[in-house]
Amino acid sequence: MIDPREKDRLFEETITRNNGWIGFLARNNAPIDSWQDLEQEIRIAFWESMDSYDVERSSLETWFFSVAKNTVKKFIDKNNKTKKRDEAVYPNPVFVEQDRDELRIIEEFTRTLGKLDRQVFTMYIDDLTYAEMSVALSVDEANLRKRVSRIKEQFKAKYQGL
Amino acid sequence: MELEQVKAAWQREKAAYFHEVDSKAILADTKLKAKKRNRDFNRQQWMQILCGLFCLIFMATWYRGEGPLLANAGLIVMLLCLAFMLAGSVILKYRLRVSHPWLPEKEFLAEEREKIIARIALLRRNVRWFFIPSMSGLLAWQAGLSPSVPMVVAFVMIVALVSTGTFWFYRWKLRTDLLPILEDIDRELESFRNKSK
Repeated sequence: MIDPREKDRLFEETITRNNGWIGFLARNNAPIDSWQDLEQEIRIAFWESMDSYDVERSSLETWFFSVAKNTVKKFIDKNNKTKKRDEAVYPNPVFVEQDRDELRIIEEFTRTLGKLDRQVFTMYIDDLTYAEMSVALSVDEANLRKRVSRIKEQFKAKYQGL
Repeated sequence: MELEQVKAAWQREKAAYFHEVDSKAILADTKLKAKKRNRDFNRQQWMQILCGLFCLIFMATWYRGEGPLLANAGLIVMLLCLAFMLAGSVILKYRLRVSHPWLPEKEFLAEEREKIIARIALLRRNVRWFFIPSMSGLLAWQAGLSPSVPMVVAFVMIVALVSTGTFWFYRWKLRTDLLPILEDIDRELESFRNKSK
């Protein structure tokens, strides 16, 4: 059992470090009116999971990542209408010239990827190592490297000349 | 544009969040909401247990030692079935609450699958093994108390209506809520199996 003060400190540090990523994950997996709910779900799930945190099992970052990812999955299952609403909000990743900054490109490109590639891409731009990705996704590193390389090519082909 | 360029932009975005985040406020808010969630869950469970017990005790007062055997037997069957249904529902809610989101995705999915199967099993068990006997108990109780034919016919019709409604709800819940989730999970687990081949 983790010491309560230590738990507070680790929670604050991890959340601060990954706040942008939580937001990104929520924006990509929840309808517009539920982003904050999903962010909150992730934080609460992480907080509650910390009592079971096992230092020997994984790093806190990997632990957090698994908790966040599985919480997102649960959230989507719980609100299985999410997908349909999501499609309604984003019928197509439409090209909008004046809004094409890097972050919009990330969101747009993410939507064109398959489920696993999307997770790999999200983790890649979040600067996770291949080892961390491998643990979180249960996919071997060689496979991940190939996927990242393919994603890079897809990205280059889509946004060449910009 | 290269992927490394957007990756750098994303890292800058993260860094911006880093400065904006009031981690103390987030910590306090998360603690508060986690506590509230636990409180709400316990309150709902206790309400369900107390209301269920109240109904069972109230129905138990209908028992008459000197009354007809058929009525008493029917009442006992009904009470037992309702008690089993109540216990099953309360136990399942505690079971569903236990979650291990830190597990690798595949194991987590398997855990979620087990939960959905447990929910389906409870619904099936309730309808097949407890609901039908409890309705039979209700009929036996009523037939034992007032053997007049119109009264028994009226009760049979009421029981038939309630049973139809329950079966309809059971099938609707399975079809629209539980089975689609189970299919989604199975599909994802299958994709894991394919990946590992």
